[in-house]
Amino acid sequence: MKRILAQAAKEWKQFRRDRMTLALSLLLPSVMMLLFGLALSMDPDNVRLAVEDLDNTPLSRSYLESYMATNDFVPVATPQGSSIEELLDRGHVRIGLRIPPNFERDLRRGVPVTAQVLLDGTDANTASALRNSAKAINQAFLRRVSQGRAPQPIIETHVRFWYNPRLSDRRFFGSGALGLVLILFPALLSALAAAREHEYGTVIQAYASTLSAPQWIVGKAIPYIAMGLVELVICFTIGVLLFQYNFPGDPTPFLVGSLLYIIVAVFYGMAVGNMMQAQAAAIQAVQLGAFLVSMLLSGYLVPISNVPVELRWISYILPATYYIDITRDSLLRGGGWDAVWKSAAVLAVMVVFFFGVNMRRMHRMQFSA
Amino acid sequence: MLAALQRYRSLTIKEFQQLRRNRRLLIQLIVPPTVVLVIFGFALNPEVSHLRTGIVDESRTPQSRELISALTEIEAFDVTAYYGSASDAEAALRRLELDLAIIVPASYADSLHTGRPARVQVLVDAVNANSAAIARGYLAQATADYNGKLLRRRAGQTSARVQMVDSRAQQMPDLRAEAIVLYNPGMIHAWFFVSGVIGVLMFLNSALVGSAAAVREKELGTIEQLLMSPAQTIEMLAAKTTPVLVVVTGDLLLALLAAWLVFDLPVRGSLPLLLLAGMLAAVAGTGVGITLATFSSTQQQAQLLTFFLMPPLVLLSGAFAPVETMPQWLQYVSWIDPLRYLLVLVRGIALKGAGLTQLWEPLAILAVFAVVLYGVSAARFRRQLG
Repeated sequence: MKRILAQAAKEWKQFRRDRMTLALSLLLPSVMMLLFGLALSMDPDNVRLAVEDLDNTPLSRSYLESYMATNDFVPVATPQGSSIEELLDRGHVRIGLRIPPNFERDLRRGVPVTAQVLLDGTDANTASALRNSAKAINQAFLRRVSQGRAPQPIIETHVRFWYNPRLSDRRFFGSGALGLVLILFPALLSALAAAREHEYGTVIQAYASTLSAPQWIVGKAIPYIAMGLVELVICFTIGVLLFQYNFPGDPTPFLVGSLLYIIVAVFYGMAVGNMMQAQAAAIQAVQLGAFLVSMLLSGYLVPISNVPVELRWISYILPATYYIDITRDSLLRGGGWDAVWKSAAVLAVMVVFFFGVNMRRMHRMQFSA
Repeated sequence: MLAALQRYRSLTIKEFQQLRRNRRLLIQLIVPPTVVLVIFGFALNPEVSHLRTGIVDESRTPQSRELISALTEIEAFDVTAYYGSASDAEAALRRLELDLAIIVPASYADSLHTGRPARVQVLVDAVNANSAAIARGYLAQATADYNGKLLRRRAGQTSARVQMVDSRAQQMPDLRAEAIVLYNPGMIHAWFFVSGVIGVLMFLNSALVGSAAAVREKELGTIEQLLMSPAQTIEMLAAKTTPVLVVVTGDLLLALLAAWLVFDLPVRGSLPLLLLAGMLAAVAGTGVGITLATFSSTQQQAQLLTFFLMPPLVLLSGAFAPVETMPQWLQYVSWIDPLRYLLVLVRGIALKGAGLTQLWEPLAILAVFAVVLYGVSAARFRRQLG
């Protein structure tokens, strides 16, 4: 035990001396947390809507107003001599609304009227969301002008949104962002530390000492796990302030899951560092393995059921997949241990697995050294 | 002047040879455009599909079965289970076995004739707000369709009613919002991400090569040799930049080819204009890379700095989600992201077929970024030499 602590103290001193990395590892998680929580919302609001009102009557203006009333859209007048298509080409707007001439007259007479909604399809997802909201607004407007003359609907679906009644994207991405930030930085720091020992050859000194392999590994891991916990506190504070983090249910799965996840990240990074044995290569491996793949395939961005079957096995070996499962459940649903014990168990198995990988590497290196 | 050109030529040859010998870097430059691009395009499919749907039919009548089949015709809904009671379905939703549950109450068949709307309840796990919102859209559409069908059927039952409904329909306002999707009528989701990733890779690669080329001289100590040579700073930098431009242009073409083969991504506008935009971005990226290199003494430090700088640039650029969906203050921050303008250009030229008349603004801004970033890197590089 004493040896472990001595090793941990040495590691901490070494880490503390590198001021730049220390500063970066406290500052960057906050920046990343903000960006990953805020920058990837799929939910468009205040979208600029180009308007061409060829009728310009009280009714056509009221039709326009009904688009603005939802706060989804902000009107942009189409300048003289220009067209909605032109504004779309320039990328100034993503959606345009063209109200035909005689809009009011035809509508009052019961002649079918067609308003054109022009959409920029380069982002198909946003385009289909905007199309849906335009159709809904159109329906609502039509119902209002018909004033009860329309036949009453026979059935009515009443949709209730559980856990996230306001359909806030921010809570979804905000709770997932934790999973990306907490694997990136702990893994990166421990990978650099392990690779440095090999680069400088100081790992030989560890072999020569009375330290056993598990003691070396655990001692080296402790400072980075502690650092990870500090980062967790920072990120959680940001989460509370910006992403409405709270615990609707039992908070213990979140706490246990976070601890396990940080340990997995540190051991994973260490394994990468031990294998690459060069700092530059270790950075790249962590970047690819922990960050890019986790961002794409862990369910943070799109549900795993959307990942093609051929790639899905990768999702299932990513620690982030299981951790994000736990954070979303604890912070949004509050399902407690019943809902997430499996994910927590997988993380525990991963801790053991990566510890084993490090042990094997150490033994093999000891023979080759 | 001639001597300067000659020095530039021999320095450029040296840089090309060095780049060719750096296997790891070369692999990094060639593999991502193809592999990462394809993975991104396939993996990042936000289209909502395979929502696990549970059904509770408390009414157990022909009418309720008809309703359920109408609602579950929605392609995105996979019916995975039937439950005897609403509380069973709620429990399954809580255990995360379902994404949504459709509950038809016991009174459904009777309430069809009361004159008031019969209520069907749908519970949705809305943790993923995007999926939930789209599910709502599908449900609204299916409900409206089914209502229309019921109304028509009911109208057909009594001829007297038909008259009434018909005469009413004559005066009923009828307004349709016709959605016209430009540039991507097939609504191929991959186009957005793939075009974004192409821009990101170009910028990242040029920063990577730029910083590697600049810092290696420092690491190996060969920078003193360069200093003693008659070459000027600007000649050295130009020589360092030339291979980057060549490689990155090749990268861009390779990426466009892969995107076209796998995802049918078109280049509707002018390819030379697209290459020009790519070159400007590469110059800006090289400037960033060289600047970072002047702050670091080893390749590892340069890489770490690049690694810390790039995610913010990528996230703010609109590569994964349109800039308009970000909070206003982040949109302002994104103005200082050169990648943002590159992506407007790539998407504008490739997908919209826009030309210089529409896109001169972002092109000019990108050019300013290229000049400024490259100028900063030249200044820092020179100071370091001095």
